[in-house]
Amino acid sequence: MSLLTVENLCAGYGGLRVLFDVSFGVEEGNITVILGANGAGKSTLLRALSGMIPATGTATLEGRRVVGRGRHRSAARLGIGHVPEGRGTFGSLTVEENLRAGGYHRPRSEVESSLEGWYEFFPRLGERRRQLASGLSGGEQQMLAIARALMGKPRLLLLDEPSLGLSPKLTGTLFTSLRAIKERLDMTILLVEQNAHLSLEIADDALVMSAGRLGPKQSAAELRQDQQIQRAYLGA
Amino acid sequence: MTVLLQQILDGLTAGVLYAAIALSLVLVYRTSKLVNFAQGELATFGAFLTWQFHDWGLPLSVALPASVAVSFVAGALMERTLIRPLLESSNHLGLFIVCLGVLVTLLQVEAWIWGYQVKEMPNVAEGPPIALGPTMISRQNVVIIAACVLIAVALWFLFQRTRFGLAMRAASDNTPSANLLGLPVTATLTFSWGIAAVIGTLMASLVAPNQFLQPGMLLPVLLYSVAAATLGGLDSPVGAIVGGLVVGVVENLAGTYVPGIGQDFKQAVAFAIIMIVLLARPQGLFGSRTVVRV
Ligand SMILES: Nc1ncnc2c1ncn2[C@@H]1O[C@H](COP(=O)(O)OP(=O)(O)OP(=O)(O)O)[C@@H](O)[C@H]1O
Ligand SMILES: [Mg+2]
Repeated sequence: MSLLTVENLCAGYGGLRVLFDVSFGVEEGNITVILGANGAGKSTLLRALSGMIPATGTATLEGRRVVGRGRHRSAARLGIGHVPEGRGTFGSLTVEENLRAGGYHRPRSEVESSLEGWYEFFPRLGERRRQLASGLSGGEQQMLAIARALMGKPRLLLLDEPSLGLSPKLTGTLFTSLRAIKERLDMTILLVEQNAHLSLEIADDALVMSAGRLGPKQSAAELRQDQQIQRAYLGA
Repeated sequence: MTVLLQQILDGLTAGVLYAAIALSLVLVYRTSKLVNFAQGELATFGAFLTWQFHDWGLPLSVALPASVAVSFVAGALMERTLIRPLLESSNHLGLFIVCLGVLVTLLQVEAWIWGYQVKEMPNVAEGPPIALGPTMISRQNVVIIAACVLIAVALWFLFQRTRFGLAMRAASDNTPSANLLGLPVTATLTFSWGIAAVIGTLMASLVAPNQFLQPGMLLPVLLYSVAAATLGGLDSPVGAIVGGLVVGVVENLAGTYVPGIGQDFKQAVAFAIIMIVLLARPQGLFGSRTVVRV
């Protein structure tokens, strides 16, 4: 059964409609990647799922509605960790304070042990725990944003272009960490990316979005072979 | 020399009040990105309440906490009813007009209830002034300085040592992220307005014996406080305090030593400070650069 099921999702900004009847499922424990060009609507999809913008249609996470009427709870409380486009870290707070904010709705004792766990997983964050987040490098900021979202112990992690602004090498390291997070925590991840090459390497399932519409779900391995995708995204 | 020291001490004493009102402005600015021009008048209104409670026969030790409590509710209500809807629709001109509207309304309500005759507010601390080396300071001023220190320490504790304070800082740093993480963003907003009103009422009640309690009592002070907040950086509580003290001292020294300024032109000093800061260092001494959007 899918962990997240999305049906006929429509969303946009004011009068501008961006998503058109988007339907898909995300399997528990998988990394699902959505590929698409600039302006395809990838970020809009994630924003609709985490309630940052209003949407119609339905989306259910483990059977609980996350989109539509009666939804007043934050993404974190619904079990969604959203790492937004551009990372959204709190620059005027220290690394540790950022992480504590991520665990805000969890009991204090759990927060302490999670903190140590993430410092072990991302040693760079541990070394810089007392520094302001604004002083971190791009890669470190991305690690912080991911760890902060995971401090809330989500069921589903939404990642909006984590590779943005990172060198190919750093992106590779980051994606290896994502794979490890998936395996160690059995985390379900929905990843939105323009970097098809690296994301298809770590993903299990893949979909392509263009102009606010979503194509069929394929296995990531299958899509890697796809001629059109190779031409459009892999530069072959 | 003694005159100079006395001038500096008087400047610091005045500066403490500017710093406190500047702190209120900064608290509101951080959460609402708005300079609340009614902040000083809200404080004056609070001082009238203290006076009224006292006039009804309550001792100051009861009257002051009572008006402080009422102020918290009034500040929080103002945010909930007048500010929130306009903030949500990003109506910045609307917010400016609402603040001016509240200022004018408060002035008229005060005049209507209490009139323009100056009210006698009792001092919290009576007795002869205390000698500090060659300079003198009144007991009431010692209380005022102590109150400001207390406010600063309490705010530091709130921001740096409590979970809710962390949420307040996070929400003012990046509101969308704070919402995603489920931080109590709207509560931090309401609370900031309440605390800003509390600071104002406490300080205004303490300075009222020196300042002539009447409608508009703190209008000149608001000007200095805006200068102080601008100097410190609009989003920095530490900056507000440093800014307040600097403005107080500069204003006093300029009034005494710079020919032509005297007591009549002292308010121009506040404007001069605001302009110089805005031109030379728009983010102020301690503010974050991102605050100033052009
Ligand atoms: N805040 C906004 N207000 C109005 N329109 C927006 C907003 N954000 C995005 N759009 C529009 O919605 C459409 C989809 O944008 P979206 O950000 O979802 O694309 P994307 O697939 O994430 O692109 P990118 O890869 O560049 O991040 C675009 O046409 C964009 O102009
Ligand atoms: Mg995007």
